[in-house]
Amino acid sequence: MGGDGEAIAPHFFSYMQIKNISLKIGPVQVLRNVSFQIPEGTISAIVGPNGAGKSTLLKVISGFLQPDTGEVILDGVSNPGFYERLKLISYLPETVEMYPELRVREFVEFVENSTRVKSSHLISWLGIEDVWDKRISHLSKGYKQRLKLYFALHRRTKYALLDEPFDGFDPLQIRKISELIRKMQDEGRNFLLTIHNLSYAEKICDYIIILRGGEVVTSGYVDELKEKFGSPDLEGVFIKAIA
Amino acid sequence: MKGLIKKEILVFTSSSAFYLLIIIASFLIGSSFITSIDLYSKASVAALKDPIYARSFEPVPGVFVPAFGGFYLVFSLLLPFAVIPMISREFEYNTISLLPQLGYGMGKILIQKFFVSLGYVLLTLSLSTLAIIFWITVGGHVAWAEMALLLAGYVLYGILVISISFASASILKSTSSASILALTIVLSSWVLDFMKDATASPLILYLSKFTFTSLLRVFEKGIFSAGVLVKLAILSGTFLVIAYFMMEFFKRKNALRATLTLIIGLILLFASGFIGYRADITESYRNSFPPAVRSALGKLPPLEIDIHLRKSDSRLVDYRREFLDRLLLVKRDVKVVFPDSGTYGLFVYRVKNNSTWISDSTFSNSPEEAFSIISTLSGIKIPQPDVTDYPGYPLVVERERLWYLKFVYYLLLPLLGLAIWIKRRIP
Repeated sequence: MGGDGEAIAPHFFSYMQIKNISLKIGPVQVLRNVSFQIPEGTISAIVGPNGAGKSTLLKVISGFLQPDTGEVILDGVSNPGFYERLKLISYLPETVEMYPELRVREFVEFVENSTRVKSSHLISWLGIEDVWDKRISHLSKGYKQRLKLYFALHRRTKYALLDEPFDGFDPLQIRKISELIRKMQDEGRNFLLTIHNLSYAEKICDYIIILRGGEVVTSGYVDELKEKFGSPDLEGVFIKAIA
Repeated sequence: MKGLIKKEILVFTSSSAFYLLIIIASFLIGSSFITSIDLYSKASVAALKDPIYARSFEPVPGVFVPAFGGFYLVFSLLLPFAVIPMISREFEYNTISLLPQLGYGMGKILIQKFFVSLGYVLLTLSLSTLAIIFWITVGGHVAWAEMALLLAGYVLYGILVISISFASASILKSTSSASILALTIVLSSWVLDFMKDATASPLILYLSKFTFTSLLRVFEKGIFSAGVLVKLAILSGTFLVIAYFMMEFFKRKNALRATLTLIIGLILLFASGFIGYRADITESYRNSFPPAVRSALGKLPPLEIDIHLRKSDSRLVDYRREFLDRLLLVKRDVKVVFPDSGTYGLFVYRVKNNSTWISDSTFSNSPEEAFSIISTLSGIKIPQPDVTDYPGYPLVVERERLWYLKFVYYLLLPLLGLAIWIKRRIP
């Protein structure tokens, strides 16, 4: 399934298709002919070793980087324009510092005034109210990460592309955030994440794309991959796939 | 838009550079005003007893232009440090990738940041308000049209520095590198302006016409110049468009667009040299001639002047300052030629009288001699240019009264800035 051109399973309705994406940045070929499809209603993850091109791929899909060749097909539309794409996609980059000069309240007001979307339930779920009047620069890493997730999730776009969303969270918080993502998935939202920690990816995600050196090694549902590679867990799949 | 501009104001007013600039500006502006008023006062003592000497006392060039030198320093050397982070931090923190997701295109983002920065320039310039009020309170005269032109010049200069800073920040995307680039551009223009007085290089002399300082100087002189206005608009517009292109995400095309913008901007800048409308808006007509002379000059038939002097000759410098530049401000169609041959030092005046060109010449560079010859050739009586109704406004301000300005600029405003700064820094 995915970039190797295998047949699509009957239950598989692809909402996002990536076709032959290649990108060279300077002398480095960061992405090579990347192709995969992601089924509707899943929480999917791109996993791979450092420098595999995971973050770059998310940037390309969300439109912040233009590929040299290839297509991103969203809801049947090939390579939608940058701003049209961002109406469908929320993108959370891994490295972003949310206006450290602002207070949490000021940041939330800015986001809500800009989008005219109120997200009081999300704010409560993420526990942001606890640090409401604190300056963002004075927040702990965990709270900063919650604020990033608030930004990525509050617009309720059909697709959320989150680059290392669990970075900085303890296991309890990860469980809570996972529940939130699952709940949003039930509401019809689709997630594409990059996750470094494979045990979290296995717990949270339905569908996995393994990337190595800018190329898709394999992709599929977690159980399918375990079966395909004869491994009891995703870590085993990963090791065998990239070996 | 409301959300974005509020965010911009909150972020900007949280930066240390914002308050530091205001505090330093307060000291600089205060010091400049106090020194200028003190010097004007001392010189005025003799002028109060001599009405002819008093005519040379004009408060705008005597007090406000030197005092506004403080703004020139602040805008040239400090403003880039305050406004560059508005753009460079968005790249350094990668928040630039969040803004389009909130529905803000780069144009909107740039405009909001520009208006917040412009507000900052106006806030800084408003530091002069207290000095102006003080000046009026102690009985000083203010030529409002000239004053408004001076302020407009500084607003436009501030806009230019903002535009340069934004372009630098969007090209280099790093606060420190962009600050170096912006300062290099501003200081290069400054150095070029200094060099023009120490060189005979035609290229430097030509380029020095476009330096930011020389453009600002026209406003300081009390001359409204459409050409200078257009030049400043082209320069600021070019830098802002470059900033817009370089802020967009798709770099290859945008670098090309920015380069094209620079080329088009330079072409327009050099082409704008042909816009010649200028008007002397000073109360004393110090850049041109009194109304009676202006009226007579307006009636002159076509006039040509051949000047047999090198452009670096000090006699020509005096001639331009005392006569030629003033004449050209009133009568723009005068043809001035610098012939390669002929008797060195000669001024030849030609007037078209009844379809015949008649001429006369002199070695004198004095305005009186020039008017006398032109008057004889044209048959139009031109009054003596030194006859003026302008009374002059000398003013002696007691030194004790300057304590008010010292208190406001050296203590009150810096403390106020410091208090707001500390309040904004509370976690």
